[in-house]
Amino acid sequence: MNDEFALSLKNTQMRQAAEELRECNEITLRYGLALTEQQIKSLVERRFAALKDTGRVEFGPGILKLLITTFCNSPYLTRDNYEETLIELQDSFYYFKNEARDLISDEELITFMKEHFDGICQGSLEHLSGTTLEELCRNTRYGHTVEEAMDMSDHLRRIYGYKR
Amino acid sequence: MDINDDNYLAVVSGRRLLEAFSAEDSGNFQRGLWALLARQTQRFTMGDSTSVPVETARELLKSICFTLDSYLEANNDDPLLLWTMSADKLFKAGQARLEKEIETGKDYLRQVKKDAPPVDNISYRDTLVGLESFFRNYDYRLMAHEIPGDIDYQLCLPVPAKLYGIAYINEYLRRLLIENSFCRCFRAEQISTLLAGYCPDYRELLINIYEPLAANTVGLALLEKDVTSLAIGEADRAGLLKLFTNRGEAETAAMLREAAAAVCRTLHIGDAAAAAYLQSAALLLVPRIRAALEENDLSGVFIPPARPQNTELPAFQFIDGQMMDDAKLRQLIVELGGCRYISDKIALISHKVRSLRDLVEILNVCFWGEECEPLFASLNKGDLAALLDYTLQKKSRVPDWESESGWEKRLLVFMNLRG
Repeated sequence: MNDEFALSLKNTQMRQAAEELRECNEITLRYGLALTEQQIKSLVERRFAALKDTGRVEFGPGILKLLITTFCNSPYLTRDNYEETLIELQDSFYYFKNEARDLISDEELITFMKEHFDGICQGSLEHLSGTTLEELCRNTRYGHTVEEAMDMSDHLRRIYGYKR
Repeated sequence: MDINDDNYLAVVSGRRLLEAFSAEDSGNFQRGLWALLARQTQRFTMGDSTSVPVETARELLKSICFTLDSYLEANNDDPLLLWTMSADKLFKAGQARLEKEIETGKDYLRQVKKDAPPVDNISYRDTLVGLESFFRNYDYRLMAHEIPGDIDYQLCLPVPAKLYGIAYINEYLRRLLIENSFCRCFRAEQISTLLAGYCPDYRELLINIYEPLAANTVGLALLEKDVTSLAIGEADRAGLLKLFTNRGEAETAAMLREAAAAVCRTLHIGDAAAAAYLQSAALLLVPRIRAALEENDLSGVFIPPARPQNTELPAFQFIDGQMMDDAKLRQLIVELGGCRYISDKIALISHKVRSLRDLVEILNVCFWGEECEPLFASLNKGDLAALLDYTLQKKSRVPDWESESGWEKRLLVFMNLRG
């Protein structure tokens, strides 16, 4: 597509995404979390960079809204680390969609990320992407169904006694 | 995502419609196309994912453009369509068009199966299976440009690589039908003899059946001989060599074109497409003839028939005796299935089969098409008589009886031919 059209398309998508994030603020305020206009802009721009880095194409406003509404009640999210955590989660999300060869749906992956982020990872993004998600994707690549892969990854959680 | 000749621009620019598009029209059309791609992606992921890898999106876009293209093509690339119809409507009309094309393709395949050439070739047989698999697996809604089926059999005039999906398959089948109807102008033995001269292992290798037939008929037409005989001997090739010597390329082409027309007249080929196909096949001979003239040897272009090989087949002595037990019979059937050459199969039978009923079991499941004749030829008169007697008695008891492999029909033809 020509550059002019691609630019206008990107602008439209960015506007839509920013609008959605503003709406999310109304939900997250009850947890003491909100994004400033500057943070919204940076998050939306980061989304396009993450898509480009992972070689993916996304239609519509993107995955940020689902990430925010799922993670906003996490005890490990604070006003100070909110933007940074969302950026990391967004990057990990697209990365692991590829790693799992698209066998895991958006909702399944985000739910899994949230459970482990709040559980065994205790809010550590490094732990989440370095061990738990790696293991989940490895298991799906070995031909296990998503449910099996998730159950297999659950053994860590059982050892540490977290509840699903 | 980059756009190349495979997608959006091909829909408009390839048809010289781009000039007629204003910047605004172009923008509107692209927006429609993008919305279509978003919807197709959602269908592809079944709503599970809002994003897909670039490669997947590219394939989906190719499919959309192929669908739009097929509708535009069917409507003579009318530029008005791009203004009066939204991308969405064009896409739906394109899908309806593809559905019709699929039905046409299925009809073609039925005819191809019905009118298969009367000789056996593994790649032809495998391709029929591949074509059936195409119609089972073809997903015109999401991946309309793909060809999910193995097409091994080589045509004399290959389908252009720029065709995709059902357009490729229908063109392939249309060409195959033309080739098949030409091959059916000749008897099975004539074709087998010629093919055996062309390539002794013609059943196993990736060869085209039509090509040597077309070449020999054109050669015979040039010599004003009976084209239905297919047989070009040493003297005929010498005559052809004389005909082509000191002729320019254009002159050679003109001679071949005329000869192809003469073949069509003799074989009553009235269909313009079939006549044009034969003419194009004849013109393919021009560079080959010119290269062969340098060596003064046209035997690679106009094929000499194979010498009869029946004497090489192992002798077969069959005396009706003890039936082998079921396990041994099953093992033998597996062994026969693994044999590459018909002579190996015959040798195995001659060594192991001692009963008429075992032989019938084996004929039912191990001998297909023209494999039967060499086996019949290897039997002595007494054995053949016993087999014929079995067939006739079975037919009189069960008039509708037909074996799985159809060997009994071939036996009856074989016995009639032998007198």
